[in-house]
Amino acid sequence: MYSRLYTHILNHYSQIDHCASFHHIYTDSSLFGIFASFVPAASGISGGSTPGQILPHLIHQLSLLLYSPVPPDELKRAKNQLNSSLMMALESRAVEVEDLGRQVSFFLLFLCSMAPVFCLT
Amino acid sequence: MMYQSSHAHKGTPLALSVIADTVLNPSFKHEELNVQRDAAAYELREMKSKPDMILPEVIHSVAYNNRGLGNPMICPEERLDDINADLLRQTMQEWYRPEKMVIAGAGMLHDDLVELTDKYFSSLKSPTIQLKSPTSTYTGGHRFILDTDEQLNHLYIAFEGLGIEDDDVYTLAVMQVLLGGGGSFSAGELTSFDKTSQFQHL
Repeated sequence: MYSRLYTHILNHYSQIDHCASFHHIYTDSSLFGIFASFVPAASGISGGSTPGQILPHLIHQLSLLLYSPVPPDELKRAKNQLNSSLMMALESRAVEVEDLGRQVSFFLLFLCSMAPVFCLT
Repeated sequence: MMYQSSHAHKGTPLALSVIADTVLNPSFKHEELNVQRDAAAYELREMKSKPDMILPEVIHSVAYNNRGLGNPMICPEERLDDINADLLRQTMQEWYRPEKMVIAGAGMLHDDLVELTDKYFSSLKSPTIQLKSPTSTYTGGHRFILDTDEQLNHLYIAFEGLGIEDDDVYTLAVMQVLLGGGGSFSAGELTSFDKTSQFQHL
């Protein structure tokens, strides 16, 4: 609720219904970006926007990260939030064991050895 | 592809034997395949009406030019009928090999799991054909999909980031959390508001 896309975008533009960042990470690449869902100008509903009006807002958020310093409090908060979401996910045994499996299969890519068995006790 | 079980302590041998049987000796009954194909077709139709499900697929196919990571995760509708027992068996023979398998467990004793794995999986031999995982090359691009029936418009912008091996991937992850975002205010989201406001004080 205090992330930038809330404070800079969602709290200011009522025509934007949804706006979030995403990051899909893979072994050799990742996709990082922002998306927005908004009421289109063509819908006839007053206050709608064209994609051309929304895109600059999204790009501006990326420019801010590039060209202006991030306040230390805000950076700390983002780090804490990332940390806690990783830690809280591991509180579930099911997630823990999946994570273990993923790490081992990733590790195997490098070792190219026969499948060993790893087990947490 | 993941097979998973949550069970009481003493259920581990049974759970692993059931998983091993499913993985190594699937029967692929004709009628069961038909039921699952129908279920998949229904899910596909459901997903097509949800842009937030389909658009991440689209952005991957554009970013990686339909190859590697750009391949669809969701089965294209016209390919559903091509899936049959022979194809499934062939795919499993190619991919379900010892060097591509991981057996992981939490809660049980390590030695017990090793013993069970030996019992159920040691017969598995690696086929001689070498497998090559597809590689992905980021090409970028753009795609415009016109759908006048949609109530909202959706706009995605994505950039290539870093693979998991790169130390800077954490910087990107922090950036992603910093930007955050989500849905606009609605009464139903008050609980998640309570949760996120706590993060401030951590």
